[in-house]
Amino acid sequence: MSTLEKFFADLDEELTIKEIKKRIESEENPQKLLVEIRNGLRIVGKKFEMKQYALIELEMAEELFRICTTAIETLSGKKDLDHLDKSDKGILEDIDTTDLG
Amino acid sequence: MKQNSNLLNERLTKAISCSTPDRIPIALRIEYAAAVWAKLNFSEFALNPVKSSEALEKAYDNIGGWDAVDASWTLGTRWTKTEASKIEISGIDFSGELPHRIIDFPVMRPEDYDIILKKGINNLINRMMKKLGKKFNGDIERNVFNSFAPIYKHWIEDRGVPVLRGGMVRPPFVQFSMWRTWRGMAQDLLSRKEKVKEVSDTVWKDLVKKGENQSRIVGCNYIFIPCGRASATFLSEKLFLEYFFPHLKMIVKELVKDGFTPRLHCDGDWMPFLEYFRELPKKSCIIELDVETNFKKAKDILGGHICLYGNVPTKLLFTGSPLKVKKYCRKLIEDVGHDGFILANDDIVPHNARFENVKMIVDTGKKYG
Repeated sequence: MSTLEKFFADLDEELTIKEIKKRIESEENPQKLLVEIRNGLRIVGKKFEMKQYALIELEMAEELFRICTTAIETLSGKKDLDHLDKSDKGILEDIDTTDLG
Repeated sequence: MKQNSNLLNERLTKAISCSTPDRIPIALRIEYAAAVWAKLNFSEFALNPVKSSEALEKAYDNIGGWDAVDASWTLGTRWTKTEASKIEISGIDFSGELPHRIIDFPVMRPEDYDIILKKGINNLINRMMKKLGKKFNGDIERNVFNSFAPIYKHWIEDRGVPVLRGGMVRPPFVQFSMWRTWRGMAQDLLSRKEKVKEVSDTVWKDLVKKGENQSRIVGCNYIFIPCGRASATFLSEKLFLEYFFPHLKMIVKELVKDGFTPRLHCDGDWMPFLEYFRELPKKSCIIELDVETNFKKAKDILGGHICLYGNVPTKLLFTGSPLKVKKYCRKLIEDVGHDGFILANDDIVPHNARFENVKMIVDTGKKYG
């Protein structure tokens, strides 16, 4: 697991963005970073399956993915990277039926 | 007919103190189903507290009476007049007789955490209400609860029936996730987690005061605490322990110290977290669990410590038969035993519940409890 994948899977926004900045400054290919954050996303999914994470962490991972893709696009100056993140809707709104009082 | 209020209260008190009453108390939370059975429009049930109480009273009498009712008459009025939320009422905002809808809307902005720190929670609530086009201040909330007080009095004094809900305290995590929405909350736990903790540490006591005041106005010591959004369905244990449980513990301790009975409404899966509830004050509160949490195991963990409340499944009440309800209740009583237990429906009796199924909970409880 790369450092970026680990930071992402730990849902640590600060360290994840710091790592992205560092690697873009070292002129790494943005697509490679995208592959790693996608891998991080997969690890989050596995942690969910193993019940280490719950639904809020999936929502957090989706948000972090969005933040990362925006950061990569902005920092690298490359728009329209193939990150398949086109949704603007959260994942929990439709499934939560808890009683709020 | 007036009930023997001493007997009903003693039954509840014994259950809450985890001892064995003369029989298991029965509680039902009936909302729009009472409107259907009384042929009352849902909009009237939601917004006219007197009519909704009358509809509930008809259900109470037709079923043959039970040990504690829920304050369903406060429902729509509370949500429309005192909550910083968008709410849609049947017959007014949409057609068809369906329960009211709470619309997911981020009424609170990330920068509003600082408003709470600088100006207090009530200042933020006033701002958010204004944003929603609602007029609000402390007097309005007091007046709303004052208008409920005679109905509480009618149930508690005239009818002799305990009401299991006066005020409400939402723990900070639940309250913020509602105002910020789930997505906003996820953003906050990523980008401003220290702020969420700081504000939660500051605000929990104000939320307690608010709930206690509501309870005092209506003259009912039970305080409803919605916890569902912090279940293992939604939060990992790490987040539960960081953002939810410390505040819940302080809230419950404070309420008990002040003479109130917290009623923890725990829908969702609580199995992985149940051990932690042994840290709450002993024999002083009620925990409502739904079918996602194994009731028998919950009794093994919490028995003698917290009174269990539940859990005849919602689905059984509209798809099942009286016989199936009876079987379920008998098995539940067998599994849980007679001490520290309130037999009740799971969450809210659905609006399309069959009357005879709901009645069977009460009949079975009276016969085998």
